[in-house]
Amino acid sequence: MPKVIVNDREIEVANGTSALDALFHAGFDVPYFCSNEYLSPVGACRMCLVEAGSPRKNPDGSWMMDDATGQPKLFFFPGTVASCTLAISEGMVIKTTSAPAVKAQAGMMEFTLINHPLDCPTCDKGGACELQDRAYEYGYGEARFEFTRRHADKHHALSDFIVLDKERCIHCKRCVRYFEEIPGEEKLDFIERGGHTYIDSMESEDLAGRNLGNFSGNIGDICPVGALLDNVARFRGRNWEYDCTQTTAMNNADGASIWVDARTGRIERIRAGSNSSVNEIWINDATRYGHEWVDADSRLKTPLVRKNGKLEPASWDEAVAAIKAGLISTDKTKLGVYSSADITLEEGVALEKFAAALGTINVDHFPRLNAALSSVNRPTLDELARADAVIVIGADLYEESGTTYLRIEEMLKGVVSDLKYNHGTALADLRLKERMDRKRNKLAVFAPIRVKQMEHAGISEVYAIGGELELLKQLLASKSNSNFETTPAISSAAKLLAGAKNAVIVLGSFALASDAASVLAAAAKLGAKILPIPAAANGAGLEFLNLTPGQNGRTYGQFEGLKTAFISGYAADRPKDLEFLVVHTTQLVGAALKADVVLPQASNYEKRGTTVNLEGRFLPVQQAAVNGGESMDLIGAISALADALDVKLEIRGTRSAGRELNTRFGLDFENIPLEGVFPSKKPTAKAAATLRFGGGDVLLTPRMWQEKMLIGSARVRESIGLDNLMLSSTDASKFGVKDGEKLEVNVNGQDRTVIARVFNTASVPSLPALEGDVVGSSAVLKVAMAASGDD
Amino acid sequence: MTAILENTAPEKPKSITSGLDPRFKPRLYEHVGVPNSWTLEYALKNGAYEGAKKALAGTPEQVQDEAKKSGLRGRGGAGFPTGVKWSFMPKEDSKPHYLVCNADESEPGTYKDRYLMEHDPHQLIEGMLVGMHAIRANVGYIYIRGEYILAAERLERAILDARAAGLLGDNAMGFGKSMQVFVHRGAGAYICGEETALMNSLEGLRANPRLKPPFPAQAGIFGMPTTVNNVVSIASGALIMRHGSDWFASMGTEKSKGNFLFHISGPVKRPGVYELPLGTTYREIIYTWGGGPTEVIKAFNPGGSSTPMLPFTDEILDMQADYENCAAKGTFLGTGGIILIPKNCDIVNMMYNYVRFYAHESCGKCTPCREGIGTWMVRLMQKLISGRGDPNDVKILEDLFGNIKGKAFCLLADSCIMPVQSAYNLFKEEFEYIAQNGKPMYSGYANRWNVE
Repeated sequence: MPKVIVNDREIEVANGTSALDALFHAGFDVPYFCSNEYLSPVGACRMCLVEAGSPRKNPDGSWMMDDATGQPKLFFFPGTVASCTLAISEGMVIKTTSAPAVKAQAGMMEFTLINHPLDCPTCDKGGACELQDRAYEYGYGEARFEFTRRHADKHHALSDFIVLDKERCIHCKRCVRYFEEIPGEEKLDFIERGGHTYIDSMESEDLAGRNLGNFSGNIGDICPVGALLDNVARFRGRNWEYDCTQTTAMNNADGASIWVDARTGRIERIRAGSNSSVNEIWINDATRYGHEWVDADSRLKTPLVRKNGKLEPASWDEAVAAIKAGLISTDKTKLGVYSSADITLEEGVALEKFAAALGTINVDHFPRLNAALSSVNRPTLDELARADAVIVIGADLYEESGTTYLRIEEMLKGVVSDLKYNHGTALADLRLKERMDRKRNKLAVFAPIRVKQMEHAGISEVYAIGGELELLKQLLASKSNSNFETTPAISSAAKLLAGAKNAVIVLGSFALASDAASVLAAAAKLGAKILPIPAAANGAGLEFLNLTPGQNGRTYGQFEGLKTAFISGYAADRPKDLEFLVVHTTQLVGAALKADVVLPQASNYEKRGTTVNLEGRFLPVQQAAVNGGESMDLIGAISALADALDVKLEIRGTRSAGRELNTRFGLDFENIPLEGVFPSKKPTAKAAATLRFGGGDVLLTPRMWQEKMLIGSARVRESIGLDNLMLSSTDASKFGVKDGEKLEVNVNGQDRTVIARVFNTASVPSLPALEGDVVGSSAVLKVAMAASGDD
Repeated sequence: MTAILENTAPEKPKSITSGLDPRFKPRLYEHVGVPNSWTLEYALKNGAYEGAKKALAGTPEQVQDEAKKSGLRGRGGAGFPTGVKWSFMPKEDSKPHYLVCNADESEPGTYKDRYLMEHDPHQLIEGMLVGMHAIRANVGYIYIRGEYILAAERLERAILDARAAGLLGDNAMGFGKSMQVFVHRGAGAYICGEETALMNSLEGLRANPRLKPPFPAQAGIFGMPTTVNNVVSIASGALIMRHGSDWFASMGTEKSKGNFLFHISGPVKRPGVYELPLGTTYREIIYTWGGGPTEVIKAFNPGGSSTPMLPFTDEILDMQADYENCAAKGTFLGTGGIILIPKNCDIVNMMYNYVRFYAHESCGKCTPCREGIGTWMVRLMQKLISGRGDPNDVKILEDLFGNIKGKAFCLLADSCIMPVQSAYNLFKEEFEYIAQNGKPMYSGYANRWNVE
């Protein structure tokens, strides 16, 4: 590896390293604003100026020598150079602290500041601002610029979630590059030129029509100043007042790292955390902005007990007493215990032990697939980003799994930001370029509807709904016999698969909805790694626990004959024939409205534990400083239930649950690292029965926003477009629904407007999810909501 | 006469370094000003496309060698050898290559390309054929400044005529090769003269300069190997093929060969474009051809507004205009656009006008240009000339030169600082006078600039 001398330190760094990374690696520092770990170096801010020189070689390959010193002669660049766009070479000398370098940095800082307003005291970025920090370190400390600063719009809404302060922008171009390079959608650009340059979107003049996509919030994180602001968190607090907790997002199975910033017991802001092998530094907008439900007025903070037919606030003691009164005379071994699948492993194992202590076989988690995800050979997300062929089947990853979507975009660029130095990921990876060529022919996307990722795929096709098995069969046939007659898309995908060494097949909710077991088995024959998207946040972890019904046990949704039940999470409606129902939830909607006792549930930001993401990676969940009132996690709720039922529990807290898990997985559950870990013991998944639902001849297309996010935030409700409701032509004519028609739907007790999409097939398979009603023009349909992401 | 020739025969004939030399004959501007010179009929009558025919009959390497032998250097300002630039293009690859003619002539004091394109468009198209053949390109773009309406129209007409005559098209001149030339009109940005910004603009993107590497020869427009040449470089390519590299090399000084378009503006009797061999003295250009100044002159920019200015002294006037002599004096031959600066014109006023131009044309990509020139310098100069300045402003101005020069992403910022700094070094007393007294030292042109 080439040797480089930075000031007085000699270091060795890999070829192709930028001078910026070399000098940080050596332990020195220069200011920079336009560079970012995952974006291409552009050299726009001109802050990272250094003096640099390197020796040159004679035509015969020997070094040109300096006669005076007897050392190879150094040829310095005239003046200073931007280190972010300069590649190192053998023997290069970089000076960051020499007088010309220091003068250049300070002079540039002065330029950056002349048009930047001095409103740090009211700026959301104040205290966590790169410009502020760097100005303190490298600036003159005094202004020589005596003219009026540039005045521009300080409250320019780019979307419902992002406000641009045009005065604060220092034109580093991070946000513009982000949109082109990371999600691959060009949403922003510079308008005007010279001193008049500003950032804007050409999406629409009208804010309501503006769509910056599902990953727009990340630009606020990477903005080095307070120009791009999170409109949800705007003016909610100062950076030093926030109690910041790094945890794992549990709104989907990505396992994305997030920072939860709370103040006075409320979540004020969520930022992306950094996990270079999972989400890098990007999260989708639902993960970022979908937290208002936690602090919404509708949040349950005390138990409710039905008195005289009405639910009334009560203490936990009263709730326990009410449960005791309702359940004491019933058969404990017949109690149905169900939980949504976005709970931690600790909660899951507590539920398992509770069911065992009761002796009931009616236990289940939802939504879930009817097959074990760990039964296939799964790639890590890093392997996905390095794959030489990716075939996405039956998935709208843009909505279902943002991280998977972005890692596939990374695969298309062909460069994974994986150079590691003493300071972490490379700050200026010179392999990344602006507007890089994408290897579109390495990606094939098949889905029953047109999905976003098809825009970037060289091979794409819309197949008949429910046709996944047939598609996989044809792929296999075409792969083994190139003359096999099939559609051009399938035959090119098969060719791509046959020629690839590290192929990955991604299976999403459309493909796994009705019969995941058969689809996974069919996909496994193709000889590629398979990445199935779990139906819920911890679906990949809970499958290792005994949380599915025993023989003749009642699955979730198949409640016939059940007299008593405990449901944790969102349930659409109270099962019929039930005599006593306890619901553990965060918002009083759906079944909770008809429950006998409602227990307040702690949100996933308020508990400690472990979750497993779609790769099978174990990730820690940390407790943020959020005031959930008297709400409790599932372990707490189970303890209350156990008290009421006089059942002795082995697990009464997260720690004891962790100890139980330690023995099963061979991991220290007290100390799961933030970047996650794969267990040393390969756990085996339990066989899963098919999850059945009552209705379900129609389904809503997947959506990153969950029901509870819509409940909790008017902003989210107003900003997002309408969902698609897919239904078969048979049903459509039965209920008098036309394609493209707007329908009023009632899902989980919430009214929603959806757009009907009619498909020319006999039936649309149901997804294992919650139920609701669709009010068609002539009848009421049952709806099964898309599984992924919803609990 | 005969005797003299015999005596000198064994020696190499002396290089032509004066327009007065009887052996010198203008070629680039030979037809400029002749009625109907832009028509294909006229061009064909006068030997157009003969050079292209010769070029296409040979291999690309032969054309490159001919260009290298001629000693042709880029006429856009930087003076990089054109033949060498052509040889940078990858030799064996399956990618399409592109030749781009940089006709975005926006430098103040420069207007040589305009008349060439207006009056002799076929010479440029012929040059495009030669250049495209040299770099194995089938497509060439002429990126023309948006304001050059007549030139663009005549070029487009000429392309249509040439295509109809089979000189361009799928089987250009019967050599079985597809050769297409397109005109792309710019939208009026000086930065598009920078080759990478030009390529962005040509692709339909915002005209910001791109990072190099990759250099255009590796990945230019649409990510394909591309060469960008100036109008006169390309037209000279056609002439070299027509008249031979020896003809071209017979003019000029040792390292600066060929004919060159000098143009004079400012207070001079006959401003305009003059085709002269390189190595002509500034005295000859200004006095013999330009007719001499009409006012007392204190300095001049030798090659457009962005070249550092030279004092108007006998030593400089007797200097031969070529790349090396200019470099030795700390300036550039540039585009050959000589701007004479009268003594009676206050240099601060004039430099304010320069800075205002560059501030307006800054693309906004990098900080020193956008903030340093676009915001600070233009206002500081405005303060000075409006009489509100103080001596400290001159110190700040001097400091800004250092903070901007050599630190920006592309050369636009340096192009602004170089003339202003040279003016500051030459006429520091004028800056100090206006800062001290609130009024210019010379007020001959005081009413010429609109201050507010």
